[in-house]
Amino acid sequence: MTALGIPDAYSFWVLAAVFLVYAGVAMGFASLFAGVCSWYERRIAGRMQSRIGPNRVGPQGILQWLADGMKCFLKEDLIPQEADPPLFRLAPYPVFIGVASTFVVLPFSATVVGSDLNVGLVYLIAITALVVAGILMAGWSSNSKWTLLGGIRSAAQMISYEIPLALALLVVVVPAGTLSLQEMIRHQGGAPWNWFVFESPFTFIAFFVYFTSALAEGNRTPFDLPEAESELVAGYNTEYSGMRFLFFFFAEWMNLYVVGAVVTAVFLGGWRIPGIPVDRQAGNILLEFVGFVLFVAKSLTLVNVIIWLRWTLPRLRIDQLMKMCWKYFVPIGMVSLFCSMLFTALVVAVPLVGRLTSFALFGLGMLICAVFVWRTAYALRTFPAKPYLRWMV
Amino acid sequence: MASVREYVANIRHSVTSIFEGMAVTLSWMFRKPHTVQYPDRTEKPVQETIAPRFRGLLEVSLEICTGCQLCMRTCPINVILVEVKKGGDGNRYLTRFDIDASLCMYCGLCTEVCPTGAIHHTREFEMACADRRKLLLHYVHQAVQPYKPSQKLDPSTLPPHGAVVRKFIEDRDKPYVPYVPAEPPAAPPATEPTTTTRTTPSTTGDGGEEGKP
Repeated sequence: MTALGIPDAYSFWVLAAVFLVYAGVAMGFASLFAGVCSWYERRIAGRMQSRIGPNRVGPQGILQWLADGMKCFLKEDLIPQEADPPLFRLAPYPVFIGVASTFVVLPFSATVVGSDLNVGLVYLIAITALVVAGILMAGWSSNSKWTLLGGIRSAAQMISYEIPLALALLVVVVPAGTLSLQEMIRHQGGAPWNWFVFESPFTFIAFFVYFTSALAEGNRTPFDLPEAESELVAGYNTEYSGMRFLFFFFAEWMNLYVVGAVVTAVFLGGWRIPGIPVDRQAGNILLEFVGFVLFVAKSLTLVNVIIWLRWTLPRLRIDQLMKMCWKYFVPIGMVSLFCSMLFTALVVAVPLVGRLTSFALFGLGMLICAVFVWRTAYALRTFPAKPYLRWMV
Repeated sequence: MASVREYVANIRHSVTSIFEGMAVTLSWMFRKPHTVQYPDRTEKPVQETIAPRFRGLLEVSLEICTGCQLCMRTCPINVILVEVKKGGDGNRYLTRFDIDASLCMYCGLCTEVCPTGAIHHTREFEMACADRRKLLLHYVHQAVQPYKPSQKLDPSTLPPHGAVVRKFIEDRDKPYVPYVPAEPPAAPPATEPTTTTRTTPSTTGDGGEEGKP
């Protein structure tokens, strides 16, 4: 602070102001993302179901989210007579805060990060537990059977899936040797075969385990049992209306970006630019910007995948959900963690093995993508229809 | 051992089915949506895309109506009202032809009995309006002489199907104007006004007295 010519006496307030501005910018980014994503997801859903989706408000319906937001603002904020008013009023905020607080450790580029905590991953897992509290609060205080069932389901699901989630992250922590997100990104290379997904076969598995568990953790389809429309009306938010209702959805769509960003940072190389050393990237404004664009692009690709999964897979039954967690993900995570340790020891002893594995896994990933393209082309041929490449209708 | 095999098979099945399912949903991103953006963003009016024999709103072409009232008699729920009156000049005049669109069930019996095809279904259907009285479609505003088959009218001179109904649809949100039934022209020397409803179709022309039951 003295270097900038600011007396030390004011340094606390300057720092506070900087953090406040950063929080505002990050929340603005997240809110804008959540809003636009609500429209974007509906458009994608439409196209996948051979519909068009909202396209009336503004050009191609891009202002639909503003219209929806306005509607929710103007609606009456109902509190049921039998509800517990203070808890009922409070409930949306822990959900929102739980998701929004992750932006403290989520990096945007090499130096733009709220706080590069050395226990970043632990913080991430811990702070998202607030969401459970909020949802359970909403489910209990509404004093309705649907909401209570939704809340209890959510608690069961989120607490269960925290275990494979943490295990899958630990699989990567072993080769990375750190819990800080920024450090993890610095440990990865810019080129795809230097990413942690392709580090070892076990991080490759952990990638999928983490991605799926994160979906379950964020109550995303196919794991959206807490708000299963066909069974529980709307689950934990059945009794909510107006702005409080909107806050739950705000958190849900923000969580999309959070999942994408965490996967990007931990598995997919974060803001690293291929061929440029880490040290040069920090501080250089142009490279920082390129890194930011890369990071957001990777995150948004994953967000697209999440949306796409939502409109592909049907909702799981509660017993299937639990079976999947306890009988598949937890054992697979445990075994992966153990094997990852052995593999890391092997790589330390024989570095060549690590390089060869990375290249082989990168090849496998490319092969999977190629097979996928072939299957998509096959699906296009089997249900004959003219290919139509225009996105906007 | 069998349970291990089942465990691995479960994983394989879920992975391959998700893989295949995602390929199918992605392939739909490259197809044209089937949505018809009725009413304002259709390539052509939606009426033109409906099947030609669609049983929409009933329309009467007064130019070829013989005033036989077969439609009125055949209608099972009394939707149609046709009045034929004898004018002062001794001719029969069609003074009223009403169809209650709010009651019509689109069975099509009236169109089947019509000897000239004067009453027919159209492909128009957008008659929803706020005033129920507007659904009573009045086709006659001025007394007209019924069509005689001997006139041998050229069909190409008739207005296109749906043109008359289209006017009702365009006016459906305008304020309601009470309908005044048309009166046949009175003869210069005053004669007694005859109300000859339910004339038999054979007595077209000037069979005034025969029309009386």
